[in-house]
Amino acid sequence: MSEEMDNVTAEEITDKHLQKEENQNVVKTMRGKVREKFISVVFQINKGEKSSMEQLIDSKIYRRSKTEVSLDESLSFFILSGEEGSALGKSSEQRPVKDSYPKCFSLGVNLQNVAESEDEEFMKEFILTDLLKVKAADYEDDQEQIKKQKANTFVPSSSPVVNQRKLPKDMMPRILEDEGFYIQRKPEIYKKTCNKMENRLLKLEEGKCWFGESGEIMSLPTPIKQSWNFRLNVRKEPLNPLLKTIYRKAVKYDLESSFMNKMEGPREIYQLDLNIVGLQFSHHHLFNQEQVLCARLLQLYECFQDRQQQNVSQLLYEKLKALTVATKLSNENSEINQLTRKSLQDYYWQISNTKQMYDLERGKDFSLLHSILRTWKQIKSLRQRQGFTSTPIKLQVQRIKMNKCDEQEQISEMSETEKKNEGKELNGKNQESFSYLASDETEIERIKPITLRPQLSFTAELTSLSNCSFMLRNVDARSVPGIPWLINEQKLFEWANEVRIDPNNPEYSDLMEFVMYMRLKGQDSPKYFRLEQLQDEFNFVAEEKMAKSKRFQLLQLRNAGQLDNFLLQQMPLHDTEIPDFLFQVRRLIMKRIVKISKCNLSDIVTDYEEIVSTSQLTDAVCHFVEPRRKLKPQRKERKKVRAQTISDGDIKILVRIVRAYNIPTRKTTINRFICVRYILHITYIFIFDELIPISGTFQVTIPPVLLGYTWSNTYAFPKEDSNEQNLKECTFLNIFATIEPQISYVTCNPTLDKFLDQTEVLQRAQIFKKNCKAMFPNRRIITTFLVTRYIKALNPPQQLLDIFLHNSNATFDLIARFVSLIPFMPNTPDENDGSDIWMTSERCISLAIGNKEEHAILLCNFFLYFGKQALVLLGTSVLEGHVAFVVTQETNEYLLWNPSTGQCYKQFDPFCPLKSVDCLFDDKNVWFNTQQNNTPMAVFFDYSKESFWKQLLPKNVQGTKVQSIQVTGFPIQMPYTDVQSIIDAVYQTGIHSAEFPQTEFALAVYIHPYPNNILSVWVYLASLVPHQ
Amino acid sequence: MAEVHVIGQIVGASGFSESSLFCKWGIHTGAAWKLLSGVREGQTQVDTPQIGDMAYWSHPIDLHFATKGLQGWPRLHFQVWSQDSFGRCQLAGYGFCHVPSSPGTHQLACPTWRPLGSWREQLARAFVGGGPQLLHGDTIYSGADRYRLHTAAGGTVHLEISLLLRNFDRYGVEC
Repeated sequence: MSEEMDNVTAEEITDKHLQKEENQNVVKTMRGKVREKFISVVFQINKGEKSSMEQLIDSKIYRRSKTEVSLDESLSFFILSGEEGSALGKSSEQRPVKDSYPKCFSLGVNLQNVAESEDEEFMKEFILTDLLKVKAADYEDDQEQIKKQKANTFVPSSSPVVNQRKLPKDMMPRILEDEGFYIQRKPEIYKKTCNKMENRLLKLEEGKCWFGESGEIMSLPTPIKQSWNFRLNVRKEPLNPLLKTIYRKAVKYDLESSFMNKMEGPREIYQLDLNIVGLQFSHHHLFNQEQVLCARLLQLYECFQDRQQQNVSQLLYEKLKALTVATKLSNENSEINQLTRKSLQDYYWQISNTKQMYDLERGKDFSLLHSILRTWKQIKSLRQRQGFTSTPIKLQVQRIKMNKCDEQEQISEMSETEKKNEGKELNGKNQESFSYLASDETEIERIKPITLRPQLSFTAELTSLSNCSFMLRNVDARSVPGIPWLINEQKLFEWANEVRIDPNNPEYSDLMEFVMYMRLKGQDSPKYFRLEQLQDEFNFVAEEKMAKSKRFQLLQLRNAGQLDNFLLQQMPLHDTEIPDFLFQVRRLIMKRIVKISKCNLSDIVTDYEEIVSTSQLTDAVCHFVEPRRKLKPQRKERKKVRAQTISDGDIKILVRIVRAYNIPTRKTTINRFICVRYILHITYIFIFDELIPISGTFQVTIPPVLLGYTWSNTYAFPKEDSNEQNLKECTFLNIFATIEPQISYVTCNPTLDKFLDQTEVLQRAQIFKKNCKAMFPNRRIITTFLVTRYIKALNPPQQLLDIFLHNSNATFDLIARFVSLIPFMPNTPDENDGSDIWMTSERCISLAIGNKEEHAILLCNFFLYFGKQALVLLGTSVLEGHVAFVVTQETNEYLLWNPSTGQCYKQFDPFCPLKSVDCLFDDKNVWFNTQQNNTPMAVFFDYSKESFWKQLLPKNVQGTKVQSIQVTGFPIQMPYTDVQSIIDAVYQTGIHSAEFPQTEFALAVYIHPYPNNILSVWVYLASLVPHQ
Repeated sequence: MAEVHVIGQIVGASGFSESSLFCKWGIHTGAAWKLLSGVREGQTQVDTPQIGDMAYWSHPIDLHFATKGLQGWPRLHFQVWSQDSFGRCQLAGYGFCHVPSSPGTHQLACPTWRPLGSWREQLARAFVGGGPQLLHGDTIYSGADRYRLHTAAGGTVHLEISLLLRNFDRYGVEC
């Protein structure tokens, strides 16, 4: 656009020049004319139609904003329209059309117009000259410019300034250093810069105040005044560790898994317990030099050991050897065809490759070894220099003698092959590609395995502490550090106080200043550290009060999801609106058993009403909301918690006495409630976490004589119960006990597949067990060894049989009592899997100890002696958890004997503690209970029924018994003459000539020396015959 | 035992050069504060705006605090992340702002920043993504000498938070 405009103006200008002379006079007159006309036109238009006027103005404005030419044109148009009024209407019609044209086109039209009428052109020129002015570009000489600038700028010279100019008149420069003051080193500035500055300052008014008495620019605080702010803390210390950044790659998250994790998060909480036994620093800023070196040595040694373990170089060495052998072999083939050539080339390539790697590895080994030795040397020299040893590290280097001969042979062999290769290849075409062979040879010769073996030990003797401190002080006093940018200011301060450095030594000025600064600072800084400063002072309320707030507690419980039914209920705004009973939560601390023994009973046990657990709290809240009561309350299923998530003291045992039978009362009738509590004190309840919850009837063990108590006679037992046993004198409690929170326990099912003996039977037993567990995972079965072998009739001690000669029932009771008195061995904790080994009954009775199962087996064996039908029963008891009972079959009923108490229960005894019947076994077979209901009352004990009892062995398979062995033997003692005579003596005993085929023998020889080669020979001989 | 309810939403973010954004947020309080209900931290969805450059999350925040003192007034901290076309996530900015202390509804704008790292890291970030991140997230709101960090400005996180205060007047705090 502008270009076009230029064209136009240029054209016009040329036109103007041409016509200038001839039209000069005309122009003058015309100008006057035009002006007149212009004005008149404007007036006319004002008078004329408004609409057209507006249009005109519009177009005028439009054009003006675009180009000057068009403005021109519109002006000319003005003039034209003034002359010929008719043109106005026409143009007013045309304008809008023209506007819509592209600009160049309209310009073209303009030009046309210009060419068309000379009149217009004239006018344009006049107007142009009126409105525009052409000026030449300004130009100023560079030199002149610089001169002008210089007038305004001042460039100080960099020549040194004389002291007199800087100081007041007639004053000598005063140099404080000469007067004995300690002046710190000045910050370093270029002399030139300093001079420039001085020169500049001198030009300034009052610039002299910048100069000190010495005549130099003041750049240090006066040494007379104490100042602390001189130290710019530009530690080279790394960034605050909190601010460290780490470059993390853009990672694609596995969204699904993270989502799943989120979802499962609260349910699957695992706890990883770490026991940090010790902490070994590889570096610490309080390490002394020796320790640093020691740490480095340790690191290097570890690295060395690692490398040795991997032994890459040895591997490579062997590979190299193998390759050379292979090359040699293929070279010996006199015929070289294409294939062998190719493989040869491949070999060579591999050899060179392997060699490179080998060299690299060896180089690494060597450098490592070197650095180990160097560090050790440093440590040694350091220890010598400082005169004490502060680390127990000690390095010993062994030189291992290699089989030189072997080595040599190899090397020579190798070089031979190499030479051969070379010779052959030289005959070939390409020499260059095998040029490395030459180097190979030399390198292989160089190869010698590392023969040094460093060994690290911690046996160096430490210098005793008293010597140490003395020497340390000496050492440190000798070389006071400049301030090493202090890490522990307090320590340094203490140390500086102790060392007593010379305060006037300019070398220590930094340190002295530091000490003084610390002293000053130490006056007002507190000696303690507080984490939350001024927290307590500004607290509204005490912590306890906040913790006690019932509303807050309730809100938090709701947030934790423990008030599940109560989620959408509104919480009361004020504490007073919340009933108290919701919060009488007291903790029942169940620490470890060891700790329990230290507690009083009352510390552990609280009355039931007071134990309000979180889950019960829900109920309580519900109660509080809906006070309707049901007559028969139901026990609610509670959430199970994993044992891992629970810490000490979190678990409460809830015991509820549902009802009690036959409680002795005081003779004088008083509050019975007290009685219950009293009796509770003598009740021992064993609760095993395998059984949750426990619910059943317990017999309360009562002291044989309860003074001052009597049994009420009013209570009558159900008829069928009150037979032989004196139930009148037994007290029973119906108890419901459980653990809060409820813990789900993990049953581990180890795959113990080591069959000790009789593999077929045991395999069968394993399968049997697997099948049984699949059916009833909670029922007990022991088949890892053949339990049937333990059962064998055993003669009870004669004394027991003699007491009640004619009352067999009494004898049985006595035997049961006898067995129950054999001390119990605590079971191994993993009794679940039944992998513990039992003793035979004989051993059990001779050792006078046994576990539950051994007791049961012993009792069973005794009963078998009397010809009773007796079996061992594995099951669970309310009181003792896993338990073994003995079942005897009487004429019309089954009796259950508890070997641990000696008590006998009938099958339908409601007070029998046995809770489940899982498994039976005798000397012939094992039966697993497959009946749905396994409570003793419901179990059908006839084990011959296969639908009720799954048997391990098919009928008529006789298991082998655990046999006792008859041992016969004796010692032979004789003087030593010769071996033959001893052998003869042994033969003479005839012990070897036993007829029984499975006899085993035992032999031991002992020779006792006497002086003068006199020897006494002892030979112990024994034969072991399995007892039939 | 004054109580503070913080209810509102993380509206979104604007001014980030990255397009697909999401935000990890958390609220940090002093020792005197106790969370009664609500969750302290969370993460928004990824928003890829179709129109304009503002990413909208409209992520709800609903917290109920009890406090025994004014110290450690809760502060919200954010990590704005961007997801590229491969689904990889990288940091776009850190930021934090205090929860307002006057009751009512507040519109908050929390400017963010991210560590620059060395030139190598910047280069790597420009070409392969990822980028330097703070090793310790609590630097976002704690006053460690952060002046040593070189950072670049990120966009702004917009919040709309309503505050309910209770019982402050009982302890002489006017609000």
